[in-house]
Amino acid sequence: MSSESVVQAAANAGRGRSRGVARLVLQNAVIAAMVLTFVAFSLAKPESFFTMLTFKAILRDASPLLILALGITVVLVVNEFDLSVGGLAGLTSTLAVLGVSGAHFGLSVPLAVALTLVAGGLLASINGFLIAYLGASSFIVTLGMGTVFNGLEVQILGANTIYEEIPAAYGEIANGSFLGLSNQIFIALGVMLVIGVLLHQFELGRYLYAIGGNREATRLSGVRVRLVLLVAFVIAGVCAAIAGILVSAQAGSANPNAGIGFLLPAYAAAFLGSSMWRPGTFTVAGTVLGTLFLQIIGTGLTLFSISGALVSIIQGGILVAAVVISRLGRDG
Amino acid sequence: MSDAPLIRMSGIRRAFPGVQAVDGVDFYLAAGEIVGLVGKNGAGKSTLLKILAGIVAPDEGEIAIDGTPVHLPYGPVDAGRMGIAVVHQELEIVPGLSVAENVAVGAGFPRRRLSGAVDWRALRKAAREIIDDLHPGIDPATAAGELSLAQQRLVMIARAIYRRARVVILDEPSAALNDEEITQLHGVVRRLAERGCAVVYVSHRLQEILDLTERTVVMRDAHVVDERATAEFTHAALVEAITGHEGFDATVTRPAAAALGDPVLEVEGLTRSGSVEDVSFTLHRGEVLGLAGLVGAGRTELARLIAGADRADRGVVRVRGRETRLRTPRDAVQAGIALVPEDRRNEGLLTQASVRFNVTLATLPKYRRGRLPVPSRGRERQAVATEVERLAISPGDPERTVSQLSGGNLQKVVIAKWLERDSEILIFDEPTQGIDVEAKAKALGMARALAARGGAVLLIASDFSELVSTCDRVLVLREGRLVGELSGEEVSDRRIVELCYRDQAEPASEHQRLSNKKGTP
Repeated sequence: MSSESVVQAAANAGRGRSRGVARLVLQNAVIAAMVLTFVAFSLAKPESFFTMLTFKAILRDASPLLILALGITVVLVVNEFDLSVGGLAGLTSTLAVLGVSGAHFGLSVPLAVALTLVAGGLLASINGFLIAYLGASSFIVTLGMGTVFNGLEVQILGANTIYEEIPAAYGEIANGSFLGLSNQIFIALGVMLVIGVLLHQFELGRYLYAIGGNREATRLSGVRVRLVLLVAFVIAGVCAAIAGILVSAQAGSANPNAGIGFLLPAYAAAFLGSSMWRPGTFTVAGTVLGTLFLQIIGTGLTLFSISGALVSIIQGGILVAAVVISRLGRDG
Repeated sequence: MSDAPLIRMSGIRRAFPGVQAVDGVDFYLAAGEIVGLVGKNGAGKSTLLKILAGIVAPDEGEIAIDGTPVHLPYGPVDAGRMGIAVVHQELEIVPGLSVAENVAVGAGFPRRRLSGAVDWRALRKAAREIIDDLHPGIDPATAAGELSLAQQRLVMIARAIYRRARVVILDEPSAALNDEEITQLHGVVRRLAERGCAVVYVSHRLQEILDLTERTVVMRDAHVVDERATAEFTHAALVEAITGHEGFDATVTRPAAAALGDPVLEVEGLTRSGSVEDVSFTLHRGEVLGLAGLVGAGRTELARLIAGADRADRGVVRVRGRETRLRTPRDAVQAGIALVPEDRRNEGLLTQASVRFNVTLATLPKYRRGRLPVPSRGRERQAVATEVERLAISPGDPERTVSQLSGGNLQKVVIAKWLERDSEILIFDEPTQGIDVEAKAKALGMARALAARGGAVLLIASDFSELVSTCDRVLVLREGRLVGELSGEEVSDRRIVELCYRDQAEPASEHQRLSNKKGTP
């Protein structure tokens, strides 16, 4: 792939050398920025940033975000939006805690987790149905449904936190570790593998990319476009549920509005990723790197005791810059 | 005032890649005159009028208004300022705005002197005056979207008057109107001329050209071939002028008549209201069946019904003798029906994906190696390489992005996708559109080759000589209905044009003969 693109760049250079070089720089600007950021933090804080402990923390803290961002990536591939995943992650985190809590349903942990994943998929299929079969705008539908999910969560919790009689096994999902790495990292790796294979190896992935490229041509080729769209939203929903479970397992409780804060960073990660190789193309590798980039900045800046507000400003600024730069790379 | 005509265009030439659209045309318009402009699809009418309206710049030639040459090229806004207005076939009304607003939009609303706010009362009054003069009965306060198509056309004409247009170009204004509405429209056009406007009236319905216009200009192959006072024309003479005497039929070789194979596609009473009305025909194995008609006759719409792209309201389709429901493209694809659409970039291909991605999209399960739904790239490449060789797709690299290919090769990629699926029934919608002369011949040759291999082809082409040279039989559509079927020696450019233009007022002998024939298959 990379050798091919170098050949391509060389061919472009034949037509306009400076243009080809400029494009090559622009296309890799995000990766370069990421490496630079990492080096800068390492040099500035060698004793606190450039440590194994920090690297592990970055990977662990990036995990729920990555899982959510991977689900969003699938929906972005078909050229739609899912703004409900933040609300859905929050709702499912509450459902899982309700399920395992001895003060409520007191289900076994595996059963509660399985039911929560199914619930995530089912709730997301409402989005998928309205969008794929009734032709509603995904932007509006998922914005509304996200609000509904969030409202349901708050309604269930009633502004309280549920923490009573939560089995230790539930907390273990997020807080346990294996080979010195948090379980969350392995779960995120698993999701990454599944989505990666689905998108880049399976027929389903081919159809997803085809729909994103030209929905009408794909429909005329005999692909069940509406079904594939529905599946895309269900995948995003299941991912949101996994992220929700991790969040509440780590906290050992269900907190109101737990998921909402994840929505924008997850989009930022996916869009950062899409600006890396072929601008505008969403890939699993891109989303993974995008998430890591955001987390490096987030973790790094906290070491400088920079306020959360400033972190938001910097992360948001980087996202906008990356998307603009990748557009320049495409049209230039 | 001088004696110079209002508009004089002289020596106008304009070429597009691969075609000389207008070749040395002189055209003039006098104030208060209604001029009919007729000709086949692609005769050059649209280009000529677009040049007048400033939408297309001429390569050569001169345009004078009131005897004074204007500076060329000029844009549509300049044309509007000089008093030239076009009422396009696709109406440019804003459905949510009132009739009055639609009349004034783009030309400036009347303002109140003090506040600068829109003077709604003055606007409504101005609109009402214009509309009442043309055809009373429309309230300027109604939303334009609630009006009938005929009334919306009227609003567009009123807009031209509001802009003080001196030349009004009406491009097929009677399309999709019923007889009563057409009569009303003619009244409006006459009123327009009485007000001193020069009107250019483009229509494929020759009878209304004869009824309405004072002078008729006939275009053929980028030239004006006849121009007379309309009174000197008869219906037959117009058809003659539109088709031409020289008959390029002689230059194309008709395929040798072959015995018809089994019927593979039988269509009965297919209807989608507003575009296709009660169409029945049979397509046989080994046959190339042409579908002729003027723009808007329902050819593409019929093709889309058979390909499952749109749903029919009524009608039965049998594929290889079995009744088949074609509710989605998937139904059609599984029945072996494939559409090669006219707009290949938007409907046929993923232009940002590779040749391989496009060719294998409809057949992915074919390339599985194991049980999992995972296509093997190796198998895909092998299959694509076979198609690349068979169709001579160039460049032959299966990983090449499709957007880098030429028009003719884009088409081959779409065809390759369907050959991979072994689709038997191929529908080509304008396969020669936008490709060069050599590629055209190849595309038509490909249609014949596919039929010869045991497929069946439905071929839509606006250039009727292509149908004559390629098809075994030709069906002619007009206003959504099948109005004729030609086979063997009957298939000629001339006969197709006659059928396309025959007005309903005339005795439909051909159609009767057809329906008689249908009784004895």
